[in-house]
Amino acid sequence: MPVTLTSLDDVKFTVDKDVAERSILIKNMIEDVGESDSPIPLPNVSSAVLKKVIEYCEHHRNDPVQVQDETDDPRKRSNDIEEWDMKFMAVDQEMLFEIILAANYLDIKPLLDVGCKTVANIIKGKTPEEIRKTFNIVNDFTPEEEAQIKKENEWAEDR
Amino acid sequence: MNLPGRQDDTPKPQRQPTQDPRPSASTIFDSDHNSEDDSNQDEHNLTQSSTTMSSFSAREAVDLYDKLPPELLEHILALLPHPTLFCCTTLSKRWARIVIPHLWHTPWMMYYVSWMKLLQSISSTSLSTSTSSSSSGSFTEGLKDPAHKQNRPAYSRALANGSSYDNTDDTTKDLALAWDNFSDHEDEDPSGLLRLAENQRRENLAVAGWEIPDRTLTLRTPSTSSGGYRCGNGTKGNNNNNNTRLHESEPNSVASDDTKPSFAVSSRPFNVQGKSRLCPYVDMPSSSSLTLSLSAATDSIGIPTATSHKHASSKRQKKNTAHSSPPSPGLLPSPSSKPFLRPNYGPLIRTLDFSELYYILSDKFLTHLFPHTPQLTTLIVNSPKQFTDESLYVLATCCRALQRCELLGCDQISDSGVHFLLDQQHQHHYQGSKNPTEGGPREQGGSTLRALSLANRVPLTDGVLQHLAYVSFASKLEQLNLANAVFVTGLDPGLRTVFRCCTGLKVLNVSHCQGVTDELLGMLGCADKLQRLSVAHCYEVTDQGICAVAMVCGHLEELDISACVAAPPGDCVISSFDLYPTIHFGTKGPDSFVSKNDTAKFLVGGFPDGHTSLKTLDVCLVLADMDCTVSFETDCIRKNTE
Repeated sequence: MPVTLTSLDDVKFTVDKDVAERSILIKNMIEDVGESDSPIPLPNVSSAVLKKVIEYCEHHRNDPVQVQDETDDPRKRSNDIEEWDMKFMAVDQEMLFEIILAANYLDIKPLLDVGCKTVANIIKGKTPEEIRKTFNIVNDFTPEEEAQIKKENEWAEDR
Repeated sequence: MNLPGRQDDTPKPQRQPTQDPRPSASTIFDSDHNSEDDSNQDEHNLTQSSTTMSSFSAREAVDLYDKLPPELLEHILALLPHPTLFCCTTLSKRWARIVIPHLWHTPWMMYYVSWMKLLQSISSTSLSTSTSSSSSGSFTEGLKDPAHKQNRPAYSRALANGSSYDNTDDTTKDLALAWDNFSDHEDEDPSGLLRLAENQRRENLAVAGWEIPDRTLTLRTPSTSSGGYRCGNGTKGNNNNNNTRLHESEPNSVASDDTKPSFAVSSRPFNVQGKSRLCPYVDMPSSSSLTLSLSAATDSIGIPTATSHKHASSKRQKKNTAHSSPPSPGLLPSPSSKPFLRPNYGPLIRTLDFSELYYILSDKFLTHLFPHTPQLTTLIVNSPKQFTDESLYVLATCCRALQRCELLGCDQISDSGVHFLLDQQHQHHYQGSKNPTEGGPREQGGSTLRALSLANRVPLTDGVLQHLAYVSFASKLEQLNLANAVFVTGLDPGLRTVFRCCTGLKVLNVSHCQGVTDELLGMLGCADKLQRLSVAHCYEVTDQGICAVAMVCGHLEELDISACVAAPPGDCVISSFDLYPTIHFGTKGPDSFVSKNDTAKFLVGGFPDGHTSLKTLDVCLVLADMDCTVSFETDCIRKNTE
């Protein structure tokens, strides 16, 4: 039973139900509404992003549903991204953030994780100046303040 | 990256996805990802040139902070390793705010845990535990002194470090008090801690230059960094070079000897090997301090240390071993002292000095801590980032014995929190004074709040001042610091109410309060008691006001009129004082002031410097009036003016 999804810009996507149900949001919607032919509107997701998301869901359609066994590891690892996911996430920043937002909205936890890990990987290993440049962050610290912050937090750096 | 037109508070961008991802400044790839670029991503120009970037950045550049909702940022930050997080703290102020909790998450948890353990052991019943020092020597220090086998009441007080207006007075008083309380105990020192602390105290005294009764103990980190987590850290042996003298004075202190009673001091929880990197719980950089004062009849106290992150398991094991190892016979106190029935030691904490622990202090921590410290008398908080009314509510409820409460730079507290605090104290006062006779309540356990600081950007309004003026202990308040209370006015309700009702003030600081006027200064209800007054940067104050103060404040010892532009301190002003107070004219030098009577001299910086309206003649007149050796002073003046 295929499901039709409508993006923000009114593009319709027809996908298999099990693909669509990678999204908990859609899954719940279908459960609530019952089987119906009417398209599911996703007013927060553009077609370009939705296309990517569907691509992801199709690739991962057979993955076991992630069990909520999040052991509260304070520092989760961000380098265990599958190769396919890595390639999938090799998009520009805008798209990356759109995907993350869509994954958040659609409640696709694995995709959200992958997206966040990708961002984390981008941040990792950069100097503050590089990070600022990458993410358009304006440094509003005075040098003194920056030094103070550094000093205060120095100790926590490599804990 | 400081492009024009971009502000930190850029309005939130539309999060609406658009169909064509624009080439944008943010089309920057991690180099790792570039190599694996999908060729089918043609719609995104991956190799966006930097020239395009700059042309678009003015329009497109949006801080990542604004692009993702906070929960997702949190999610991302949770994935970052510590070094990266550390980098991120300096990105921008907003970033620092969200990154620091992550950076501190692990250390914080351990900090928290170690604090709770500390409290637990303070309140615990198994106090005769001896704790082995770890083989590394940097984990736990067993301090012992075979010469002292028995228990002795210890009053150990960590001195607040330079953060108080009249530190010495208070401290002396407290210590004297402690001495009174405990002088009749004659037990001995089981751990050598007392002796050690005593040595330490003497050193401190030598530095500070004042005397306190014998056998009142001060634990203080002999730190060049002048700060730290001061619960017994003065006795730990691994504090880099700071503690070498401790070792000298206590050669056995590092022995890992389980058979002797030992005071296990929560020394630095982590291995910090002689580097300048300081453990924030232990030695905050610069002048931070966290003072924990314990006063009690202590047995040997085993304070579990926090375990190092890296060596957590092994150390935990060590600690367990330490705690499970049965105390050797010699260690057990005499039967009469019943170590296992010791009272809760949390109430022994008298002083909490959190000055300059800006980022670590939080509501979460304090709301857990305060219920354990009902006898807290002194709380010093300075510019905390996570200190809100919530802490004040708990403080007000749990710590009724508060005597000195300094909330400096607490810009997140509000009227309601302070109101509640005052209210609780008020009620406490009332309950304590069933016979509300004059002067009675204090003896009957009424509110003991004597010093209150609500200075530096504390967003208070006149309402609180009114409340303050009408609480039952208003007239008992001895010190009040309202410096830089930007929202208060000089009206009634407002400063005027305070001036009228707080009649017992000895120290009053209303600097930077724009409501202070000459008229107000004439209304000081506490004039006959006032010893120190600061009206620095009160631009409404003129000669007249100062003269009024001079007229009514017979006991004034110190007056700060720095930067009172309207009041160039001419001889007329100065000569209106009967007793010459120390007057701070606020010149550029840090210590330029004229001190009274025969000791009048110009200290560092020079008197007339920066005070352009002050003429040499004036100074001479002043000096002549002050009965001091003019010749000496004029030399100084010549040096400074010419």
